Formats: sequence, C-alpha cells, structure tokens
Amino acid sequence: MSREATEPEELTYAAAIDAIRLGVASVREPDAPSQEVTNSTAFWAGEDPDEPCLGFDSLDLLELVIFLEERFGWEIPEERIDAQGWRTVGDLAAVMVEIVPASPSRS
Amino acid sequence: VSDEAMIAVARELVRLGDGAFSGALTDEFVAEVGRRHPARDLYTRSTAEAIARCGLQEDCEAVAGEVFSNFVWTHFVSKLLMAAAPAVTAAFVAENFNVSAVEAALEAAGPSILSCFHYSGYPLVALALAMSAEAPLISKARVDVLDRSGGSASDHVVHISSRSAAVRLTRALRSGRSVWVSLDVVLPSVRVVRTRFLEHGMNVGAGMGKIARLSGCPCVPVFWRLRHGQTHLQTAAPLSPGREVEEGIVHAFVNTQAEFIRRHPTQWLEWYSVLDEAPALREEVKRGNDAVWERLSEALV
Repeated sequence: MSREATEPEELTYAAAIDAIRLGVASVREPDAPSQEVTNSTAFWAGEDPDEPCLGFDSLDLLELVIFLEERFGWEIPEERIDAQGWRTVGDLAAVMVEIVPASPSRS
Repeated sequence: VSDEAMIAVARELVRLGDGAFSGALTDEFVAEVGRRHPARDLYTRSTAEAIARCGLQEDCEAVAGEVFSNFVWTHFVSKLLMAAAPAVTAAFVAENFNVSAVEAALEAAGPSILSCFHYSGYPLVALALAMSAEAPLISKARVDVLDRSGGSASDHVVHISSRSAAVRLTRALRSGRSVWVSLDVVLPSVRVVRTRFLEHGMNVGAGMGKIARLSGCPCVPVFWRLRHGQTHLQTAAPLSPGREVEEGIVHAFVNTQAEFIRRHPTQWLEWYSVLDEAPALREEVKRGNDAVWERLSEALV
C-alpha cells in the first residue's frame, strides 16, 4: 500500500500572530483590562504616543518568549530579541515565520 | 594639588602591579580621588542618612566615610588595575579571592542564581567568579572594564539594559549554567519589588523572582568582606523559587543581605538605595565617577 507524500507545513504569519496573542494573554495579569492585539500592536512605547502599545518590559518579554518556547517549541535566537527591527506583534510574527522550521506535525 | 598629581599616583599604581591593591600609595590614591570626587559630599551625606534611618547603632558619619573610601577603592583602584593591567589583576584575584564556598554551594544546589548586593570590591569578585570553574553568566548594570578584561566578554557578561538580558539569564539556568545578579542597583524603567530592609522600605529589582520561577532554579545569596585586598566569599542556604508568588524569594534574599550588612555596614556601597531619591542620587554619583575617570584616563595611555 503506498502512502501519499505530505508537504512539510510552514508556519503562517496569521498562525504566528494567533500564537503571540495567546502568549500575551498568558503574560497579562488576569484582572488587566482586555486589549485588542493586532499585528500593529507595539510591545513597548515608541515615539508615537497614539500607537497601540502593550507596555511590555523585559520581564513581560521573558514570559512571552518562554511561553512560545514551552507551548510551541519556538526558540527565538537571543540576537533577534534585541533587534531594533521588531517592536510590534507583527514584527515578532515575521521573525517566527522566518526561524521556525517547517514541521509535518504542525496543525 | 593638580590633576597631574592624581594621575601620577595612578601611573605609579599601575607600575606597582599586584602590589597596588593595598598599601601606602593605594591609600594616598584613594584619599586623593576621594577629595576630588564631585559627588563625595552627596555620597557621604546620603550614606550617613540612610544608615541612620535604618537604625544602626553606629557612628553614622564615621561609617559613611569608610563606605566612601571603599567605594573609591572599588571604582578607581580595582577598575584602574583591571583596565591597565588585566593579566596582573586576574592573577591577583585568583590568589586572593577565595570562591571555594560558592563552588561548593553550586555543586550542592545545581545551577543557581548567585545574588548579592554591591559590596566593596564587587568588580573583582565578579572577575573571580568569571574565572572560576563554574563561570556563571554575569549580569551587569553598565559596560565597564570587566567587559574588556577577560577575553570574550560576551561569553560571560550580559547587560541588564538589554531587552534580552532576562531571556539570556533564564536560558543559561535552564541549560545548566549558573548566573550572577545584583538587585540593589535599580536602573530607571526596571520593574521593582518594594521590600523591607532593616525595617526600612527599599526598592530592588524584580527580575530575580521571575527568572527563578521560570527557570526553577534557587537563589544562592553571596556575601564577602574585603580586607587588605583579600576575601573569602560566603554563601547562605539556597532560597527556593516561588511557584506562584515570585516576590517571596526576593524578600527572603533581601533579608539575608540585611543581616550581613547589619554586621558589616562598611562593606555595602549602595546605602542610599534605601532613600526615596535613590535614582537621582545614583545618577549624580555616576556623573561624578565619569568626571574622575575622564581625568584618570590619562594614566591609562
């Protein structure tokens, strides 16, 4: 009996955003006001005071990184965490899409 | 006395090599730098006030004066020699800084968060630990001579101003490497825990509690008393990480440091941390350090 070959499944940008959204919810205090998290939501404040921002500090970031490692096995290289290039949820999702290897078991 | 005199003594200290860590010339240098330090009066006044507020039965001004001498020795004698004579300094530290108690504690406890307050000679203690068999990953508030004194600094130093610092420390622990963190110097925008230190409120960095919980590793409190350029590091019993309340381990750690400082108040260089205006005081003292270093840098060329 022949088995049908399956293509390794790549992480999509939308799936990465969903995963980060889950992580943000786990970092937040249970009684914190709910906040919409989109790809343009910033982790920390920038120059624009009107930009939606989670107000993360380095310890929130630690929790999020550990959440993504433990829940999904996605390990962000340290040198990518401090990059000026990613400030928003979308920036991190793009990094995830880039670094997470394709997996046949991802659903 | 002009800056030239201070610079000349600094050059002479560098020439002395391992004999420069203590002795008459060292005392002369400490006194001279102390007289010229722009923040001397602020530092000693604030230190005396902090000691008094914490209720120590001491001559607060006399203790503050000794703390300031230790501060100058730490920031200018030890760092001068670390920068100008790194090999000599490394050999001196290996000979005079006994870290066997820390090594034994880590062997028993496994990968741990070594933690202490900023005591006299702390850059040399950090260097001693970096050179030890355990070689913990060392977190630092600022880039300084330690980063340039031991070859590949990025292998053993992490700067807490970096957003990835806490991640790097936690990953090190989870992969079996101990780390070294100090909680008493709180940089602006760092999350804090309000603790009781000698019955007085004091903010310390909150990161250790979270790193302990996420890594599952204990905190091993460390202390030392520097005398004549020599010391034996001491440790207290490991503190277990809280599963839910991260702050518990921070409070327990501060209690261990308070007990040591009560017995050896001249060893702690950051007494003004107990004052509400600590951030501004720290910044002013740092500006003073930078001003003195700017003049002393001539001794390094």
